[in-house]
Amino acid sequence: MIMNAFPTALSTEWLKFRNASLPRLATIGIVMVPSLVSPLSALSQGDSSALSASNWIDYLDLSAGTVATGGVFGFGLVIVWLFGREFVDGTITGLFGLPVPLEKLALAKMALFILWACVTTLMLAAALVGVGAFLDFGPLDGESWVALARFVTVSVLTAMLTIPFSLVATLSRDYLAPIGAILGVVILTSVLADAGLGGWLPYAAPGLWAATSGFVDPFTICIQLLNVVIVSAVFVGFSTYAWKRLET
Amino acid sequence: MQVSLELNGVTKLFAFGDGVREVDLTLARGEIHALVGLNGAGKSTLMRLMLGMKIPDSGTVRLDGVPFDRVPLERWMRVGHLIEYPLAYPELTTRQNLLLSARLRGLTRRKAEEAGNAIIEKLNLNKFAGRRVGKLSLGNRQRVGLAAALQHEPDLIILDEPTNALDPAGVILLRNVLLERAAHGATVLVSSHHLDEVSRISHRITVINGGRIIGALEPGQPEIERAFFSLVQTHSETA
Repeated sequence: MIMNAFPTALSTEWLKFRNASLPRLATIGIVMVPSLVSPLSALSQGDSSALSASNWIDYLDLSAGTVATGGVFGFGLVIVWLFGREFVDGTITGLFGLPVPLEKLALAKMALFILWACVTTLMLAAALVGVGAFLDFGPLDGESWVALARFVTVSVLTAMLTIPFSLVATLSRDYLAPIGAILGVVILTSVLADAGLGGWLPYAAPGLWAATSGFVDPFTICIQLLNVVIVSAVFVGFSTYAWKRLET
Repeated sequence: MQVSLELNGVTKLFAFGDGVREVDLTLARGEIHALVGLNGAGKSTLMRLMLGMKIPDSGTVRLDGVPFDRVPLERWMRVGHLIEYPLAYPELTTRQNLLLSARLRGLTRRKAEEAGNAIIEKLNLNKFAGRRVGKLSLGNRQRVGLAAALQHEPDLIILDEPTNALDPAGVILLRNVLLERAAHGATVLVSSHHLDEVSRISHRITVINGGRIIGALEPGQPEIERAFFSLVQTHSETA
């Protein structure tokens, strides 16, 4: 009998994921923090501030900017945990010598992470709409829906940008190095973006797109966001290959 | 003797010269084979090589006569192992952990649940079945790991120091399960520091020292510890 390895890997990863505390706390953090921080900062600023929001578009783009930075940490913690925990807990030895190969387990972790990031993003979007309604921004119109779609895209792309840290967790077999890498990438991106590289840096592209409220050359932004997808896809391949070649 | 797993001239060396050198070893069906040696002798490395956790620098590992890199994935459905740490996640209950490992061995959900129930009875884990593994003592966590390695009735069992942290009752329960599996034709390899225990259950005892197989001990022989140290000392002096 040839078993279907990927669905099995996915179901076992899901069993661990739904019972662990960290993904639950990360979900709550990712949904709650921008839902609370964005309206508070929007309302606490004067009309002249860049952080001021008196309508749906400004409010959602402000929230997208919050997620583009904070999300790297929130989503990053989960992907680092997903990959690093097998080494830290010592369970990696039990994952060898199975009819489910290691690369399928790594792919299942990736798939689960992306699914979770999408669901968490939708939960956050719903929460933001709820808070926006409470702030009396009025009904969502055509432009507001575009801003909402932009917010969802920024959040999902931010989650995808944390995929490279799965490779750092795999190679270092620890949590500290990938968390350090997240900090390093955020700082380096900030410095290089200020130096003029801007949206051509994959880690800066989603946030800068949100900051312009979509008023940028569509061709340029498509290329810049495509870079994000390419970086993520390449690192899915690298991490999966690292698991395939793993020794312990 | 029907050979199940075979190592020929296997060498794996690490920095500082640790590892195993030119190891020839065969594991036969229906036999409990013990691997004994001092700390750092190479027991765990050898077991890892048998499970694909390490790739040999030279030499070959064959499972059922098939070179290791060509062993079909389905063959691993009938292998059970515990190396260093149990496959037991702290956030899951004992029962959930057993379900997870049985599913990873290719059992359907229904068969996985049946296998889990059976091994819970055999290893006397009823009291802990619904408890999270993170809340269990080290010994009971080890028992869960052993249950995960044995529940699917594997025909090749590789256990690295399985009695670590087990209480005497756990040791006896494990002994019974291993004897039962061997009686059903399974190949069993265990490493241990407890010479009396391996002497009691093993059909063959191989001694490893400094990464090399240096001889064998007769199961049940009197003064087995003296014989072990004599072998090790002779090898250390000549090496």
